Amino acid sequence: MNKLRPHIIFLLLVLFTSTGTISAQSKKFKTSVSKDLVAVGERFKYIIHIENLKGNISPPAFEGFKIVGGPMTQRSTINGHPSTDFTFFLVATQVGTLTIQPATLTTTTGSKKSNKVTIKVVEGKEEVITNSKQRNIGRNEDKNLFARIYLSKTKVYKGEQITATYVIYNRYDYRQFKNYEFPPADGFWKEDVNLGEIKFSDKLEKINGIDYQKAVLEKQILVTQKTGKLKLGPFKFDAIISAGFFRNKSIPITSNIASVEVLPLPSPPSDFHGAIGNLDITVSVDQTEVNANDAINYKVEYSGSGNLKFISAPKIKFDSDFEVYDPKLDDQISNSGSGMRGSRSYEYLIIPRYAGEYTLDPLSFTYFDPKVGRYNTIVTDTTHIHVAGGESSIGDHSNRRKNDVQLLENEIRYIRTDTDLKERNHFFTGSTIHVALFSLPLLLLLGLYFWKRKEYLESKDITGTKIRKAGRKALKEINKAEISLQKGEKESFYESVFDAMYNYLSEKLSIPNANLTKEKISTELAHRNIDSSIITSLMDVLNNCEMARYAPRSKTDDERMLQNADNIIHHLEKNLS
Amino acid sequence: MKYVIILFVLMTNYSHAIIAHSPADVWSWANSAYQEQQWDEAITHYKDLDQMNLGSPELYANLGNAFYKKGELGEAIYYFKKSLKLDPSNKDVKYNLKLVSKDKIDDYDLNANTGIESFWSRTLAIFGADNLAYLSVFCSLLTLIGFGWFLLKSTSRKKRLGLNFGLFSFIVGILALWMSFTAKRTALEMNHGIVMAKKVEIKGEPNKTATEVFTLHEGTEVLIKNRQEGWYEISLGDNLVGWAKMSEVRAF
Repeated sequence: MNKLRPHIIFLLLVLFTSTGTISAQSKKFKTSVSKDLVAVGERFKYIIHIENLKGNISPPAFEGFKIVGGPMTQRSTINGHPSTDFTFFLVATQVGTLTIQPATLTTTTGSKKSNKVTIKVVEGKEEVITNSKQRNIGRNEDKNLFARIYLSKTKVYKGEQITATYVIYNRYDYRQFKNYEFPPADGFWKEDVNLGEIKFSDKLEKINGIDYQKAVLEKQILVTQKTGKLKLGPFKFDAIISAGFFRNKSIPITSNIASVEVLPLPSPPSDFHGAIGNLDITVSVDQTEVNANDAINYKVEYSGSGNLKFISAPKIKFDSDFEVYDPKLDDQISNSGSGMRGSRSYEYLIIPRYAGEYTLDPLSFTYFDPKVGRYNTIVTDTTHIHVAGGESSIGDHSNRRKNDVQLLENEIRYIRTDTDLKERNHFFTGSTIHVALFSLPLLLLLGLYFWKRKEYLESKDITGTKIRKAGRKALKEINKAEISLQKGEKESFYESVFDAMYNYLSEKLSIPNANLTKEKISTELAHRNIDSSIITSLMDVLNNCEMARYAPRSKTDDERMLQNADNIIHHLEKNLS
Repeated sequence: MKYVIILFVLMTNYSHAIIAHSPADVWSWANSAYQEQQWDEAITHYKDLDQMNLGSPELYANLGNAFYKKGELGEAIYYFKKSLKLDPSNKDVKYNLKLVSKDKIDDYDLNANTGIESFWSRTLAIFGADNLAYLSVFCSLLTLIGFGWFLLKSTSRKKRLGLNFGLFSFIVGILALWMSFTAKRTALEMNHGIVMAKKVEIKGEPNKTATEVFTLHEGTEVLIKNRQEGWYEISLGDNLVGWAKMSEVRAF
């Protein structure tokens, strides 16, 4: 049946090709193979290429070969010329140099033969079918197309890594696979392995005596995270296969469900931090003889196969004389089909600040080896570092390094718990008490000023005026006395002259009336450099007045005395300051 | 009936007691709520103090902290700014504001554009209106002493000393008085605002249908130039002027 199918398809396909408009140029009809040296059982392609031709094609009898797939048709247009490729998948069944006879094209004008193809077939190994018990095809499955999930182990320790492989077995002339649906890896930590392009391998695989094309769709490295029976799958996809001429059929494919039994780890030692696999640790420094303040690279490297990505930075206590920077992580881990493998290293930049001999304590690393089911501890060597005196710290151990205080996290500063709560929008400024307190001293000052001014005026200006007024007052009194004299009122005349003189002198000399005696007047005036004739004249006037009040005299004497008094006052006004 | 009255009296007394907590108590409750990371409770207590018409730079700073912890950026910035308005010298608040401002969307610093004005108002705020008022009173007293000395003393040397001293005090006093009033006015005028809404469309005119001239986001500080029926005229410098709804910007 398999052999008949291509012929039928062929006839029809070429008819289709003939309907196109064909120019007479560059007619081609040739055959070729993808490999001309193959092993027995190795798949290869046989291609018939037609260009600008129409007719029926008869493929050759493939003697010594077996058709395992195809024909696939691929139509294209090159520079406006229609061309068609028919591809057969063949497998050689016998060793030797085999010839594939030409294909025949029957057109309306006659028939045409293509070229022969010669292939050398060598002894090949038929692919050994392993794990045959896992490869039993389920009863309800399509025997021509099915999918499988394989786990590399069925019994592991928690944390151990296993590989899950998603495989498709196919015997159909398929078009396309799509809508892949991989199962969620519950209970696993998953890492995909990059396989590149998905394709069917050229080698066939025999399962239950039937050859299948095999494609590895996906590989995943799974690290078990839970104990117990963990299940993975199924994974699903839709296969588009050719179902006769021009008709495609979509078949939903569901794989098996793989399971693995996860055993708990035996009780771990205290320094076990989850490293599982076949691992090793090495510690290295790039230099052991340095100057102070020179940088040293201290590298801790974990290598081997296992859950390397689960190994965190080691806790190392460096000497406090070292300035240590955060380690730089460097992963050289590859995800191969056999799991994670490679190395993870932590590189510390350390700077010794002072000269001296330092020892870096050995590191101990404990991991679980699932192969033997035991914990292993590796202790590294002690590293010695000799630090010579650098420029900045020659023989000076007292000059210890000051720790830089660094802000680690940006956190807002804490609240204040002390406060002085005040009435909102209440100000002392502009309040009545403020205005009062501000103006009071100034008002007091103003008061003080006026008080001092008054005192000054009283002590200076006002007495001065008084003195000036005294002269006028006295002269006025003299005038009054003259009137009294003319009227003949003798008594009041003398009284007026006497009072005028006395009051005048009292004010002029600033001596109260009661204390003013004639002796005092004469000494005071003499003291103030007044002419002695004036003083004598004044004394005469005063004496006359006193006497006249008790013994009246003649009129002429009176007039002369008045004249004298007038002169005396005028004189004193001028000379008495 | 008697009992009912007694009960009533007791109840009124009791409710009165609830209202009349001392501010110091409320303050310490708020602080311990903050300590226990009960942000909402802390905020409620701090706001109670605000309701009592009380305020202090620390109160607003703590409110800012609590709001930041609660994740409310606009409120946090608003209260930090308010705290700094009262006391611009507090380094912790300045640090917090800087830190919190990193979460802002708008990369705009109002102070960078209005530097001189803010320097003057900052100086005034650092002195404080009331302190300047006290200074003015003190200077007034010194003026009295100085001029009094001048008036009362007789030797010319002492008089000159008194005169100079009094004159100096008087000038300083008048200056302090003027600054004090300016500081008070600055403190009372609410011409700064913080965008409280997540996003605000700033309109060209104070109405809903006006065209949007630019957009601001939560926490951005603006100058308030004018108020008009539910709208603030805001400015971020010479070129960026527009109107924002009062509900979306809070003045301080």
